[in-house]
Amino acid sequence: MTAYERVIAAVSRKEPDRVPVLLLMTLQGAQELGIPVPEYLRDPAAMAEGQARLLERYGHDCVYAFSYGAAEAEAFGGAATFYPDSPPTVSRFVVEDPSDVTRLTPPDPESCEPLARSLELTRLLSARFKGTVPVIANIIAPYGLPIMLMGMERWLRLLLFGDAALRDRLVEVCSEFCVRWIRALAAAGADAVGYFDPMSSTDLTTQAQFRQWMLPTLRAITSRVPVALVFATAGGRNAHRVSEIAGAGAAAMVVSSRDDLASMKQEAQGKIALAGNLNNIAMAWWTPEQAAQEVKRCIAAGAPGGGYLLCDQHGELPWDVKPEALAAMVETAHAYGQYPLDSTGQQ
Amino acid sequence: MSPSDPRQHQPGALAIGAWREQLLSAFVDCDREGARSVIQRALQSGLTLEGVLSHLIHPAMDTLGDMWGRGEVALTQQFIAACAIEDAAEGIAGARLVRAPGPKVVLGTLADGHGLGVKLVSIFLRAAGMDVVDAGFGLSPKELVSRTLEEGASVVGVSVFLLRSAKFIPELQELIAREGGAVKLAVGGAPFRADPELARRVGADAWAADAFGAVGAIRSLMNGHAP
Repeated sequence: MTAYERVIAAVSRKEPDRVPVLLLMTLQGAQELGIPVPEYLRDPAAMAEGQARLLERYGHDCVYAFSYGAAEAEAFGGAATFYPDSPPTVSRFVVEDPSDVTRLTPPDPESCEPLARSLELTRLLSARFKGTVPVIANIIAPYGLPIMLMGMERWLRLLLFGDAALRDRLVEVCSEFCVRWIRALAAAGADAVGYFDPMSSTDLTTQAQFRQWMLPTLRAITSRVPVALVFATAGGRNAHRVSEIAGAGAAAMVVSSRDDLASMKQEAQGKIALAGNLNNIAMAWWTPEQAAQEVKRCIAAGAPGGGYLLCDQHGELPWDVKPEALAAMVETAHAYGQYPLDSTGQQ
Repeated sequence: MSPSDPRQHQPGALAIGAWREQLLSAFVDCDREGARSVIQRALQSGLTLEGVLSHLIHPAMDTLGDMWGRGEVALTQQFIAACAIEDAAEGIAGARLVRAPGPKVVLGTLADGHGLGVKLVSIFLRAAGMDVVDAGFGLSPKELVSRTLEEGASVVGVSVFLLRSAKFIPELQELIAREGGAVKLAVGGAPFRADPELARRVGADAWAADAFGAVGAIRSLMNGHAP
């Protein structure tokens, strides 16, 4: 099987030849090329080359058409701070006062530089790998994007007890942008798009809030886009919402390292593929032996019956993770993730 | 007669119990207006601000804390509880929570500017009767230690959002040690929540997953035992 076929089989909840391994790396490409991170993240050709080299080095099962999340805030008129060893963060919010929401319009991904760079990266990766290695992109969901546009506290105030008309308008603008952005990434060649919805985590919202706000929005968006969405909460827990997320049309969902993969697997059976569960923070300290142990644990809990993709819980590996640990993850998945798995989930 | 006039008849245990239940429901349902209205009724019925805190808010927060321990409390519910405490202390009663004379805690974010966690911790600690100093956002280890010494605090609470910010904590701990090591260090924020081992790795004395946990962790440090 090619990496593409392997991932398609797993997302279709089938057993591929072996468990696919998605090393979701951004900053590591800069390390690979010896380019400073801020420069690398603004250069689509360098990012495409970085992904190709990482693929060659580790032999995992995807290329990552993702630069940094704060690019969406930049597209709306905000600003980002770049670091030498970390993903950029938002340094200036475009919405300082809730009334600023009335002035927001959904940006066109093709004509604003930070997003156009990601589209170019997607095209370059697609031209090189289409049909053999899946190209995975990311977007921020409509209830998550306001955190980057106005900050968490202002967003919670607007969401929970602010002006409902402004809140609805903000979600509408973000939803419209989200659909345009996903369609543009799909047109550029993305095979799957990570739908980052931190507000859907049980850590952040109640079940009633999830059902009132985030779930219908997910359903509306999956019905309007031509590509498989991988639901993610950036590390937040989301057990007990598996069936509803599946019912809303997500093809796969990422499992937090604080959730129990085996019990979520039971709930997901026949409904949705699962990915994740590796701890993206602890990973920065893992030895190859610890990495191998964690991979075996995830395979035993998530891989039986197919429909599981091994990756980190967040969607981005930390700067400090050791290359030997990454290599051990892939080697262990190759050794212990061959189907059919034995009765303990390991060979 | 003002709501807190001592001449006014004090409400009975039955009324207080009912308000407490209603306040807890408002927290659980993320109903800020509901919480505000319960507190207002209690004040109008003669309960003092101190009574609102000790008979309504503290018990409701304790129950919410138990629910939090079982993983049943979301950030939005903590946020509403914090808003209700602010409303009670500042908006409705027109007074700020009085600084307790006990041991002091200095709070701040290290290196990054994500401040909601620290704000919630600050409100919850004040409501629990602690003396809290907000040192601000995006501080260096040196700035945070200077402020802690200046305030004579016994605990410094640090929040970070990025893993890169957490890496400044060993430097902070080293500066604390150089000053005699009497100050205890509590940490929190997203990377610590993701990896419970991280606090130990960076040399913190205690950590908490969120604002509820922070109250217990800091109280333990103030009482001189490991959380």
